[in-house]
Amino acid sequence: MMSERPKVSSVPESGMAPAPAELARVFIVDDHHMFRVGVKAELQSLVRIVGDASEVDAAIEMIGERLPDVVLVDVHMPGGGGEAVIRGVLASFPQVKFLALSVSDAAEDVIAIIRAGARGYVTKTISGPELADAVSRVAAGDAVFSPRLAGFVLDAFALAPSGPKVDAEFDQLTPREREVLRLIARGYAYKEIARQLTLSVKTIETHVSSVLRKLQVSNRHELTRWATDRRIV
Amino acid sequence: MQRVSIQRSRKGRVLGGVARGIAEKFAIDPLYVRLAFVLLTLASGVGVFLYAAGLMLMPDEEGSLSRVGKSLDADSDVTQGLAFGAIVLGTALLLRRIGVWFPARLLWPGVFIFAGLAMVWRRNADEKETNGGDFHSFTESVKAAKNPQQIWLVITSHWTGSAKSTSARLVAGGLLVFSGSGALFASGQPLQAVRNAVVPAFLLLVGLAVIAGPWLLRLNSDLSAERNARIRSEERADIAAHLHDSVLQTLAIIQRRADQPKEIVTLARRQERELRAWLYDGTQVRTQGQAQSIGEAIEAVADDVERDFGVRVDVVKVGDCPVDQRTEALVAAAREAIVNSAKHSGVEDISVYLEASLVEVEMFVRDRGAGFDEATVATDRRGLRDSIRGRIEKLGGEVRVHSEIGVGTEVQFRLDRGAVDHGAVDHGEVDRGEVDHSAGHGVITDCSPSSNGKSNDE
Repeated sequence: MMSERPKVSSVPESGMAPAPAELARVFIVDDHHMFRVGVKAELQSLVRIVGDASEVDAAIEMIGERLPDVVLVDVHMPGGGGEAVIRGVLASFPQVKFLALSVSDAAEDVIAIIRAGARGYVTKTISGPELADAVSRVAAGDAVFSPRLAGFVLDAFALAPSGPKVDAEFDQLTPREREVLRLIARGYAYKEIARQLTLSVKTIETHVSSVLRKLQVSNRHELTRWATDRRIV
Repeated sequence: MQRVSIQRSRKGRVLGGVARGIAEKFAIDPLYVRLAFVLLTLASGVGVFLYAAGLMLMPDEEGSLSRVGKSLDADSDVTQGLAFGAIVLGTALLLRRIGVWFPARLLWPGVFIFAGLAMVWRRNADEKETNGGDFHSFTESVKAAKNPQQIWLVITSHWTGSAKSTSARLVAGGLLVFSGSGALFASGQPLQAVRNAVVPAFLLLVGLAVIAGPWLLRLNSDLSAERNARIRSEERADIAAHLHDSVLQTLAIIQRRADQPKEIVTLARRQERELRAWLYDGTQVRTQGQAQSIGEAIEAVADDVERDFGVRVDVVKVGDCPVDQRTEALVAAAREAIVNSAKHSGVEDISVYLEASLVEVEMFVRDRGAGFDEATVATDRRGLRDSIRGRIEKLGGEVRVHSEIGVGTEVQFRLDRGAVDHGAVDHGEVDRGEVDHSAGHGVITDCSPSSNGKSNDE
């Protein structure tokens, strides 16, 4: 059932999504020992941890060997951060999926890690079960948007296009996508959004995935500029 | 920043301490400097002029000027003119001695011109250096002034004060330059004379540049490296000070209250919010009254409620707008809704979403708590009716409450940013046909807000 979920992704899928009964195989990349230990303890019964690493190069190598379903990756790390890990792995193993975890809510960090190829972004204050839920969602090929990320995306795409030619498909959100994002930003879970809009959860997931893809492939200059500007406003 | 200057030495001085001061500055034996002065003096008296200039211009170690300098008031235009004149004259005599010939009719006008120019330039350099401080004290005294009259007095005295000394210097310097060039041209055949003197002087300068150039360049790059290092260390000190006042304090408190988990979580949340605002938004969490924008105001509200009720209030903002009468009312109403959630919902997480566009502001306050039926809320509980609905509807906005028992509550606000004070109650009210204006005040119109997008028409 999970493999039937929409897979809207900028990278080719290889059909490695786990069968429903199996626990997702998860790899953790974080330079904080305490945090790795904490996440492992919280997720132990909910996913299968297949390894962890604290450095960019070691992480890329080990992920290549163990090919986990989902990599939980810290945004800020010495040696290029989560972005370097994601780019390094996706170049050779496009089937690996990444969920970014960070204490940072800086817009530029969030946008950068999503554009590097992460399929979601959650803050480190997330609870264990919520994190496990996000992991299985990402493992199934869906996107995970926290309320804050939804807010960032709405903010970034709210800007009036500056150039005369705007790619209609990738550079704008549809009214429905905007509606879904607004509900996420308001703190609604996918299930609640589906109820509110009388749509299926699957449709909501499709919308979110398509927003994720737009975020990743859009050439809007505003996107990067917005994320950078936001720091100094 | 301390100005680097050469100071006359008090200890072990022979005459005025000028030579020793120079020697100390460049860390050489004062004997050499004295010898140089003597030699320069033998060379047609240059040394005497230079020494006199030093005596007038150099402060001694304790910052006070020599009696000569004092009697002349070293900062006065006359003293500086004289000092620079002495330097120029001395240099000219030196040049003449080593074979660069200045005819007398060129020498004196030259001294005047250079002394005048020096005064004008000197003024500029001084202004640059003191500008920051002056302006600071100026703004401070403006702030301290209590009424417009006082402010006006401060401003006028500031400008006339600085203008007076500035113009005096300009005039004195200008006069010197003018009389110097007058004398030069009166001497006849000025151009030829200038050429005869300037060409060798120029060659001498080139020679000096070749010799001293590398050293000057290195000095310059050393200086800028030093400045960068200083800026960095100042930044580090700023960050350290901030972290000390906030994060370290909180960590200390947390350690002392290790037995009160709920309090610790609240403390950590507060600290997180504060640090986040500082790191990513470049702002401080202000109190509601200090907030500059509606976003800051609602963060302040969230902060308060978290502290008072031990709940988590997550604020997501899209866009922002300044605080005015209308948005202030919106924040106040939202605060009421957040407090209601904190008090009655029975859950610890409250989501607040704020979206501000050019036209309107929307706000959503949501919890997944107990929920309630608005019809059964006792009529004497005025929070929802007066503080939330009344406030917003009076301004022509709308409030909608969705609540389901056992599922949660969401209060939705929408308020046009439109006209700020247009007698909104009389004709500014806007309705999109979604809200029931049961209160019965105001004219309900169906058109788009007439005053929207004209927020600047006051």
